[in-house]
Formats: sequence, structure tokens, C-alpha cells
Amino acid sequence: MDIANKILDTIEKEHITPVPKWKCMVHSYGIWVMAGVFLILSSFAAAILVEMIVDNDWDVYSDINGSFISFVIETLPYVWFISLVVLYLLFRYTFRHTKQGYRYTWFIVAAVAVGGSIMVGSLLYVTGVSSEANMALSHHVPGYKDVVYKRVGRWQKPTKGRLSGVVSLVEEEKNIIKIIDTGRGEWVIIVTSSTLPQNTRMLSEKRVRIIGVQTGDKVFTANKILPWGVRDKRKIMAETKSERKINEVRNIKQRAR
Amino acid sequence: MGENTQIEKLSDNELVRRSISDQQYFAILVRRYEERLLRYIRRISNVQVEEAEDILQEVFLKVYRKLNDFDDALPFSSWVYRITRNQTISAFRKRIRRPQAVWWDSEDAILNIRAEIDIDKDVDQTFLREHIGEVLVEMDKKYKEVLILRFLEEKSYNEIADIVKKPAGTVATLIHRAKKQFKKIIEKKQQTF
Repeated sequence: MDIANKILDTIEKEHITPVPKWKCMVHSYGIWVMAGVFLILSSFAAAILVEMIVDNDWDVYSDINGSFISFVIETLPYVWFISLVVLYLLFRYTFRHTKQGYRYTWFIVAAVAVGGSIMVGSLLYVTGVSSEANMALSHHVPGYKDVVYKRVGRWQKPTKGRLSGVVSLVEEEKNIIKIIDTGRGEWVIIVTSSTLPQNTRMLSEKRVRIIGVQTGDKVFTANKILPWGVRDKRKIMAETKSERKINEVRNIKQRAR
Repeated sequence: MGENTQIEKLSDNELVRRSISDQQYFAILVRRYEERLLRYIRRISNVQVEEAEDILQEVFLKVYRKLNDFDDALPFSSWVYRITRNQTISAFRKRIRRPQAVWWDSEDAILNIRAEIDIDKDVDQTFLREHIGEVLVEMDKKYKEVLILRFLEEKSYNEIADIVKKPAGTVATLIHRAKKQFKKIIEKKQQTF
């Protein structure tokens, strides 16, 4: 019996049938979906990494740690960096296992992964999604703010003169603002005109960092009030600018009357 | 008779499509490739014909099971060579020791090697013919593999890339290095002969 007949005979006897098309498709698309998921997750990791580097208290590092070098070593986001590398490798591995993934060199795949994650990551960063996600992780994932996002803990030390939270109330006449810290506790912040940004009202609902002294139970006297991140800073500046314009127009109208 | 001739003329991809619902078409594919693949199995594993036939049978059964997974964008030849390569490697790992020489039976291979590798003129045709198998065994596995596909199976760079699942550029580099290694080993053998 020749090989062809032997094979047909075996197929017949053992009732061998081709694997159904849908199963092959599920497998094939499954690999693409996994590659996509790893790419999205790496974009997310890239966005958080950028955010953690950009908003890393560079403006007040001397208030936190005297030495710039030790501040850098202490605050670099190692976990997200490692996660990003691992996610890139997983993306590369799954992409390599797509039907024609082997045709592309390591360099091209890396370029697609890095380029793609930078593009999507930038979008996530600019829209503030990564910032919100980082905050959500620090609220809901046990140990996240102790191991990964230490910045939250760094600004939750009123006895060491550092506090942060979202401004819930601004009372300009009384020279106080109220904030809700990351532990959901409310603080009264005593401010003086010299410690405040130009327009206090613009701080409303923004996340801020405060350097000062704890002067009572849930009472803190501010020496410096700073936006939490670049995005908050931009928002405050944009709102201040827009209010200044409105005031200018109002003044012109009043003078005209 | 006429119908049989027409069927024989069908492309590999068309035969794959028809084999899914009719095993007789699969038999045509088997007949079309059995000789080439049997030779290829023996070249990369140096097993006896019977053992090579066992491997070949497993290859075709695997091909049959995976018919729906065949990617039209790829030549069927590359796909079936890839499955053969993997199946042989797997069988090789399980039960076969490293061969002492690579089995080969084609005079064309000598001409191909002569044409593409700048071998010292002192290495004559007879010497090359007698030692080619030993040289291939002494070569690094990754180089030997591409050299067999290139000179003994006469595959193009793109086909080799599809068979070994590596980018075409990487295959070109491997072949370049393989030629250098082949030249070095054969010339050394000639000197010590």
C-alpha cells in the first residue's frame, strides 16, 4: 500500500477530521486579541510612567529630600518601568505567534509596540485617564501607594509638613480653604495672601499639594500651595486667564457707561 | 481520464480547499509532495526510509487535521515543509540520536554549492561529493538547516523564511554565515586529508 492510501486508510479507521474552521479562527483571532490587549496595557503603563516622571515634585524636591540624586533614586517609578518592559515582551511574543508575525524583525515589532504605546499613552496622559487610573489604583489596590505610587503617601504626612487633597471649599474672606485628603478626611487650611496662588477660587475642585505646618486637629497652615500635577496647573492657569479676560471686558463696559 | 488530468492540474490551494470535504483530493496532495518531503526528512534527520515514512505519515495526518488552519497567503509548499520540519525535529528529539552524516542524493546540490560558495579550487568535485554529508553534520544546526533548504531543497529565501518562521533578512544573514562556515570546514578537511 502506498503512503497516500495508508494515510486515507488511517483517516478512515480513526475517524480523523479537519479541525473546524471556527476553532482555527478563534485561535488565530485570540492571539491577535491578546497582542492588542498587551499593547493597550503597555500604552497604559507608558502613560502612567510619563505621568509619574513629569509630576514627580521636581519643583519641591529640596523640601522632600535634600539631595537631588537620592530624590531621583527614591522616586523613579521602577514598578511601572518593569511592567512596561514585561508588557512589551508579552506583546512581542504574542505578535510573533500570529500567522505572519514571524516575517517581521525584532526591530520592527519593537518600533510598532513603542510607537503604538507612545501614541495611545500620550492620549491617555493628555486626557487625564492615566492620572485618574493611578489615583483609583492607589485607593483600591492594597499596598499600591506604599510600593508603587509613593507620591500619595509622601503628601499624606502633615506632621512632616506635607499634605495633599482635593479642594472642596474656598472661603477667600476668611482666608481658609478646605480639602479632602486621600483618606477621605477633611482639613481646614489656613492661608495668607502671600501663600496663595493669584486667584484662590481657581483652586476649587483641583488636587493640590500643600507645604506648611500642622497647627491643630485637621488644621494646617499653608506656606506653599501648589497644583498636584501639570494638568492641574494648566487648568488653573487657563481658568485664571479666562476670568482675567472676563474682568477686563467687564471693566471696559463699566468705563464706557 | 480527462477528468483525472484536470484534477492533477489543480493548484495546491485549490486541492486544500477541496480536501476539507473530500479526502480523495487530499490523496492527490499527498502524492504530489510525498517524494520531496521524504527526501527532506531524510536530509535533516538521516533516518532510514521506514522511519522517514513513519514521520511522513504523521506529517500528512497533521496537515489533514490542520487543513482549515492553512493560510492562503502562504504557498502550500512552505506550509507543508514547515510542518514536516517541526514534526521531524520533534520525532528526532524523542527517539533519534544526532546523525553522523547528512543523507543526500542529489548531484545538483554539488553544483549549487559550487555556484554559490567560493570554495578553494583545490577542493575538487569528488572530494566535495564524498565529504558534503560530514561537513553538514559539523555545521551549527541553524546554518545546516538553511543550507539544506537552500542547496538541497532549492528553496528561495522567502520560502525558507516561511518554513523556519524567521524574517527574510535574518534568513539571508544565516545563509551568508552558513556559506562561510561550510567553506571553512570543507577547506580544513581538504588540508588535513
